[in-house]
Amino acid sequence: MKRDGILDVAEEAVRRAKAAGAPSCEAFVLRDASGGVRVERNDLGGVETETSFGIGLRVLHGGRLGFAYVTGLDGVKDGVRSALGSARISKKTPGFAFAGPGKVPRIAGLFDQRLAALEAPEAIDFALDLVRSARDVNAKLNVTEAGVSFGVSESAVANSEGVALEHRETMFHASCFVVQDEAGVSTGFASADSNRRDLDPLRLGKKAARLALDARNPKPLAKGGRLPIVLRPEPASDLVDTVTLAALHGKDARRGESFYSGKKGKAVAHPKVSVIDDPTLPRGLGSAPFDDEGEPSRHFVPIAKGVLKGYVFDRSTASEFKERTTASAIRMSGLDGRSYKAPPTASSRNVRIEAPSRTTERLIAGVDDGLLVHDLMGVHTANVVSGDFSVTSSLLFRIRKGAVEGPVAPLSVAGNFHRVLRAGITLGDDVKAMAGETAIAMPSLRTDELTVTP
Amino acid sequence: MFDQLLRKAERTGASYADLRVQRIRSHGLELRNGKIERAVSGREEGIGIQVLYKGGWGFHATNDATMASLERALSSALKVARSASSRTKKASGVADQKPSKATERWKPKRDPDGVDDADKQEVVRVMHDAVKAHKEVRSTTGSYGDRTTAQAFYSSEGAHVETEVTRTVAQVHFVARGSGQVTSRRIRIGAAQGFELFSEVDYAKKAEEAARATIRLLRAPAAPSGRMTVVTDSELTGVFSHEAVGHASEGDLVASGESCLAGKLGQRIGSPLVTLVDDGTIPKSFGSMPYDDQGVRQRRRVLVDKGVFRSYLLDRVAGKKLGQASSGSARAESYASRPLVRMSNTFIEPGALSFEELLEDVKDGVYAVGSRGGQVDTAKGSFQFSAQEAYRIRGGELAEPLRDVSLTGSTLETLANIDGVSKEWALGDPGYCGKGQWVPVGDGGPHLRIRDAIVGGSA
Repeated sequence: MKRDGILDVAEEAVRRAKAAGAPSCEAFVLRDASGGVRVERNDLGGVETETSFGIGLRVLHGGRLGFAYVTGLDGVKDGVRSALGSARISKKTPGFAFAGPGKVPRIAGLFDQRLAALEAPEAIDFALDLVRSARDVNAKLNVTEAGVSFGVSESAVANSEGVALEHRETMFHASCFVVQDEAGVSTGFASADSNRRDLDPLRLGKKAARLALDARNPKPLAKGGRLPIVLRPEPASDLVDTVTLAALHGKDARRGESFYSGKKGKAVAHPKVSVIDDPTLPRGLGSAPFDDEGEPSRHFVPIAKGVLKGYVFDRSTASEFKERTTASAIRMSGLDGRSYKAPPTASSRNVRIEAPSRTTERLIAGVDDGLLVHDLMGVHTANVVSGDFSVTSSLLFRIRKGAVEGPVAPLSVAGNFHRVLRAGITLGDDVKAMAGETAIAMPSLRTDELTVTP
Repeated sequence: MFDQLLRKAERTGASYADLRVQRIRSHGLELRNGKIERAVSGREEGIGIQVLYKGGWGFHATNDATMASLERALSSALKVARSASSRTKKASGVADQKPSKATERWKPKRDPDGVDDADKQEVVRVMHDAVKAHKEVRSTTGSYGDRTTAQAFYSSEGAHVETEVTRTVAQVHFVARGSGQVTSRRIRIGAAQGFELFSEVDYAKKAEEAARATIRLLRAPAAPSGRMTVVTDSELTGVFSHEAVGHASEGDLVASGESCLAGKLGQRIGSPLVTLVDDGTIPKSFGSMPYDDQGVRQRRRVLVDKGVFRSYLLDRVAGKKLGQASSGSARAESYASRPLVRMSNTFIEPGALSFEELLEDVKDGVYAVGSRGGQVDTAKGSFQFSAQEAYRIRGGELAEPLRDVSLTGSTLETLANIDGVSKEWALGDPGYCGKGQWVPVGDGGPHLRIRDAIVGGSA
């Protein structure tokens, strides 16, 4: 039998775990090969490559779950002992069972052979093209920081219930940060994520450069108050992630700790606003045929036409609250991103928002007197329970009579994001797909619910 | 075996190479309402190897420590370095450094490896109980973690430094409801020491006090917005020192034009009352370590001396770019990452006033306590921090509590507007600093009085 496929490793780990005294068990295997290139001050900074391989073991013992991780099949026996030890002190999870075999969707566009073949030297050229394209716009600009990262990630789940699944995906990320310091200091940025080798360094570099130039000589806003604001995709998705998606966590919600606690079946957003979590979407940055505990992925609509339909669960939190899993298990380790070192937790996977939309041009044209906000600093400081936030924007423009005018000096933006969604939003058509713990595809968003203070 | 590998790197034309071998033992518990939700333990070993070839760097990391894998790691790093070298405009290098040969293991008094999980759980349960004593507290999540990292650093210059540091952390996060408001807070205890930490710190009291203060805020009105005098506590002073000044002092950001402090060495950048230090040698402090990740001994670094900007934070690479020696500030999250310029424990030195004297001539202002996080733009020198608690200052005295206070401003303007520094001084809660990689840090300082600070409230 061949032993180098990761599904073989996962199945062998399950056999060994059973032999080591864990009849009910699961092995999650992750093999990553990745690389990253960093640009510092218009020139090449560091280049890194990494390979990593590991197995996360879960055992169910006496109605309790235990977890340990190891870095090879040789470690499985000791790992099972550790996992059994951790099961002994963990709380009971009545009704929990590992995933059973199910029909797994086929999802196109998650692996790109050309991207898998990308090597560090080509990524270096890509990164330097970012610099060149930005400085072609204006040679006095500095690309202070830019980066490219790329990789192949292969994962497999096997368990004692007969699940045996494997999946591989490719990822590509590029970002470019430009500083202009001839006329005061202004900055511009651009970034993009993809699972194919289709990012365009020339477009990104140019976009960041133009933004930095457009942002020169900002004028302070004379008077604060409530103003129509168009949030670009990056700050809009930050708020969705920090406030809305956090409130959907099933465990918090069912324990009365979320803004959405007790609101299932009730209106939590404007009737024209829906939140969709679809990890079966072709080419979705958060798509995969199964979740990180082997549950087949499925389309889930937590908020449909303003009404809260349900919360996000993995198998262990679902069993705790007698709910069904929403196939939302992810394994994220704070230090390492997706990792074999972390047991599953529940989180939205591939999210988009639906609301009335028009072209972004028309979205802006509809604002008589407002602001176009490109960045919000400190969104993670929002009160995740209440949805209140008070953050700073330092890259923004005035909109007057439907046209984008000059840049505005940094100011503070405050409000409540739950209230923003309740009042209703309008979206543009500049959808940007952003990778992360939860992948979010987001266009620009207009709201009239925020207050600014110069 | 490692020396052999580095010699091989030199034979193939590398002008410098180093490698870090790490063995990491870690334990983690996550609790909900005092009960264990999950327990994770793991051991891993890994290697990061870094090569400088004709001015270009290559780095490769692997957690497969067999000799065959190391050979592959070296050839991958060399391949990357060669291609970097042919494409880089300005050759990179390393600032001169006498290679160290040393072994320094910070052995904990109580190795967490030998402590029962039940005792670890007990620490978090006690913090949970202290917080839960308030009826407004609906629920808590808590965690306990310890991590021992043994590292061997080897360089082609002959450095060989072996270190070992254990860090231990316990925290509880709670949600409280009342008066139609919901709020949450985290209390974290942690140090670069073993399980003995929990017999040295009154963590129950700390948790209880934080809970009481937070619950008061449930009934508090939202803060006003605008420019006013702000007094910060030790923790918020620490966050300002770290986020606004510390990051802007990082040599890699200075070299890449992302710092508002570039070119300001020797210049006055703030009030003469401000002396700001980054010190990696404070015993047991969360951001302390014996040597940095380029084998350079830790030290105390005065960044701002009585308002004058005195030094950057530097590793050997940024040092070379700026024509200075390393300040021992190279840190990597683990073997899997290349070291970057990072802080250790960052703080402002104490001043002459008592807290009461600091408040005395504030007619109308805000006392901002603790931090729920924030963000800085080091290039523009702007920052935004959210306070954990806040109080109105009226007629020189603390008055009613306020909720949702954030502090915004320009770093340099704020440094210049500090007109009072207290003699009370403390390091705040231990933290983790993210700059693409997470590293444990400490920060703190005295109370500061800042004139004309921009307070953002939601009122």
